[in-house]
Amino acid sequence: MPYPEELVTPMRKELTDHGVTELKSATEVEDFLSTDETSLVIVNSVCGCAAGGARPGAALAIQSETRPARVGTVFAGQDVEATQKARDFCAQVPPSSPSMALFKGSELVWFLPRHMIEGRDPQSIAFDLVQAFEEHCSSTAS
Amino acid sequence: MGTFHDHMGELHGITVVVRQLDGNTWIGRCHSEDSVEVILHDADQHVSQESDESPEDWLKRARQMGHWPRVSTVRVPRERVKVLVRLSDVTNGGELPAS
Repeated sequence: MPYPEELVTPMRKELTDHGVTELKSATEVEDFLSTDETSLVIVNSVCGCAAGGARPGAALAIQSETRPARVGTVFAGQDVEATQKARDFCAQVPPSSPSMALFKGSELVWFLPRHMIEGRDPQSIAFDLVQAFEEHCSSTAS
Repeated sequence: MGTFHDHMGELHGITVVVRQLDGNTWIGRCHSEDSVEVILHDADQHVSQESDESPEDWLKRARQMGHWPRVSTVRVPRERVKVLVRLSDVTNGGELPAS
């Protein structure tokens, strides 16, 4: 059952305020990943144990010089259809939220599951993300 | 920002590995743990005698990508628990750290 939207809105804004594109339908996810560029998809969630560090970690990481061309987010438990579509693109990966998936085109090249986010500070999460960006995102986003 | 349940203990909400004395292993999101039992949500189990995969390979894979949530809730009696650790503390080779 979804949480009240007024509870969730600030958690959405923690990402959208940093330029992350909110994907609220399956079609939006499909369109977002219909590209040859690199994309990061952040699976947001209300969980304080993990998402409380994930959102600021992601916000920090996407300010780095080398980063994906596009950054989007789906909200697990809230935007169910969009989240399922994002997970369809990661078919071999068990579902978890929060989590982060890095794509080249529509191919998953790196994944940060929930258990590698839980209890960690935003700087540590950002460090992992930036390492993945430097490995997989060859061009510097403008 | 988020929902926090600090009164539930430090492992509440954390993905953990429970190795039983019989060698079988659970992975799940810890709800609570005390002297009576460990309660896990969204859990998966490796049964040594039934699996073609070694527990180390199973844990290695879970550490890299996560685990499949096959069982909604499981209660593991404390007297059956040999090791309880965070999944993130499992080594890259899938070995459990000293608990």
